[in-house]
Amino acid sequence: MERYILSRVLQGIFAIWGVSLIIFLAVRVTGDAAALMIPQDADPSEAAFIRQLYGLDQPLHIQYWVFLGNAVRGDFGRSYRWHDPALKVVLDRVPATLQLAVSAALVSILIALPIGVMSAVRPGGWFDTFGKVFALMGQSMPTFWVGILAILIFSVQLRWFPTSGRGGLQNLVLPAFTLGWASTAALTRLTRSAMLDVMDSDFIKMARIKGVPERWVIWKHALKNAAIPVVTILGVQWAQFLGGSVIVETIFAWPGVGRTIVEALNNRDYAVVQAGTFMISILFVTANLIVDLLYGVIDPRVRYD
Amino acid sequence: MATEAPARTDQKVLTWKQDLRWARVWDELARLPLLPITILAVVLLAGVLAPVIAPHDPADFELNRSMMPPAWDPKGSPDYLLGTDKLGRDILSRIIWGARISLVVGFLGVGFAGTVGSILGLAAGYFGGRTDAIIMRIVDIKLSVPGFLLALVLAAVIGPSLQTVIIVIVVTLWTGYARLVRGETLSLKQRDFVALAKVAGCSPVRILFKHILPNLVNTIVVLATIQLGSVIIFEASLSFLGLGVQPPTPAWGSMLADGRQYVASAWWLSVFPGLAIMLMVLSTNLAGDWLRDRFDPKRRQV
Repeated sequence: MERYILSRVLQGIFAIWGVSLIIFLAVRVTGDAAALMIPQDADPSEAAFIRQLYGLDQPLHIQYWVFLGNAVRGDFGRSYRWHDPALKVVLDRVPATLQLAVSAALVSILIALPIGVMSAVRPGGWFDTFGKVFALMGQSMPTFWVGILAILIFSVQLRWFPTSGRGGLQNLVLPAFTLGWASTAALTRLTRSAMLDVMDSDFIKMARIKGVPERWVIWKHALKNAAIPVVTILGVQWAQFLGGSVIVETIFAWPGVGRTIVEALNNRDYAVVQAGTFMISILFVTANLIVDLLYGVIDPRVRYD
Repeated sequence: MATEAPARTDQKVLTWKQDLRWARVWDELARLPLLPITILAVVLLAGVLAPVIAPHDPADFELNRSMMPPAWDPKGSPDYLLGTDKLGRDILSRIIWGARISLVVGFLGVGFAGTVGSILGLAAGYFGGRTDAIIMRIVDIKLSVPGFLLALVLAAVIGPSLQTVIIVIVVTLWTGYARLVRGETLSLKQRDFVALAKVAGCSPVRILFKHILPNLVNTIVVLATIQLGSVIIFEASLSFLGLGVQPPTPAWGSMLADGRQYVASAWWLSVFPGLAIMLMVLSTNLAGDWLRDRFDPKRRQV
């Protein structure tokens, strides 16, 4: 068990290192990083000054060592837009992103589990058909369009929820639904097929023969065993929540890491871009690790060796 | 998939066989996913024939007719069926021209990603050892990072353009093919026909492309079709954030981004381009599902 956790943590660190390398190279190899930081009509001497200031006149491998050494100490440089260390700018916005992603995950579980289970209980019934159409729509509507439609219907027409910003529960509803939308579809289908598999097995028949009420058979016996693939896909969906948060935060002016990265990209604030991407990767790797370990809790048959 | 032909013992064998063949053709046709095929055909035609069928020049702006609602609105004009945007450009014409971008990005993105991923997957699966270890490590790194975020950063750094979008899509999507093809190659290379090809003195390249790849084409094409929809959404999302195809080129994603600011006053700016994306993606998804059931039943979903 300890060895398994250790090897997964090492894998995670390796992946985060890989990301840092990709971003380091992307910013430096594909163009003149100094030119990216200053306006296009700036004086050449300013570019030279910037290059010296950030050590961009050094050979690439030395730059990388400096970058890596600083990154390990949490120093990603200063954001020239926010006049703060880049890591602080990003850390300040992590709670907002986490709140949004977790709410979106909750929304999609709360919608997907009942619909998926009910679809599996009566395959081909009207609930199943509804679930199918719902899943198809979910896969086909881009997140940003869902967000705009949600604003159009629920903010502009019905005036139920505010269009943007972060504050009370009211502000959270539309962004969380929008972010959860696409995953809800995938999760519904998966819950359905996992339940169908389980409902066919002998222990369900046994439970029915014993006279366990059907409600218990479905929601306790079957759902517990269908949970394993569902948890797996939730781990995968977590990537979508984090990736999708970039778009949803931009639409709803949600003050999170994703929107900050987009703003930083537009402002050529590469210190913040690097710190932000790093942070999202860490959140992502950590979540996947937790999902891996959760298997053991949900399914005692899983052994980590 | 074969179905029983109507029994007609009283007719000549020849006509019976012809009937059977026609029944089969008819059967196949009846099973085709007609709705998605129709939508895809319409989008394809719109993209190819955009200069001919678009009622107006997509870049032709005229502030006098700014923000006109669709034709069925009392304030609309039949000349501008789906209304105009803030610069007075015709929405319908821009959607028709935008189909080009989605099609080009979709097909080229999936095509290149499929080619690169398949070749690397073949190499990893067939040669094993260090080749496999290096390629699969890169795949692992790719999979442990939110792909869209990496794509955003890459797009911004390379500089947003049509080529950039395609490059970024290839970088993001090749891993899916690599994993799939590697797995299949691992099992195929154990089969007798590969051993025989080796004995006959075929070079590894010949074995990979003449003996193993043909067995994988169905699987790869099915994955490509299924991915087409997500690639189109991917492009639209990049364009929406201003990191995709640049104005004045009309792309569905950037039209939505423009319309977003006026969602309270001019709903048609954001509803119609989104509808175009949804119909296109919906039909590629349905077509992909159909292809998978037909040609790759192993991977059929429940």
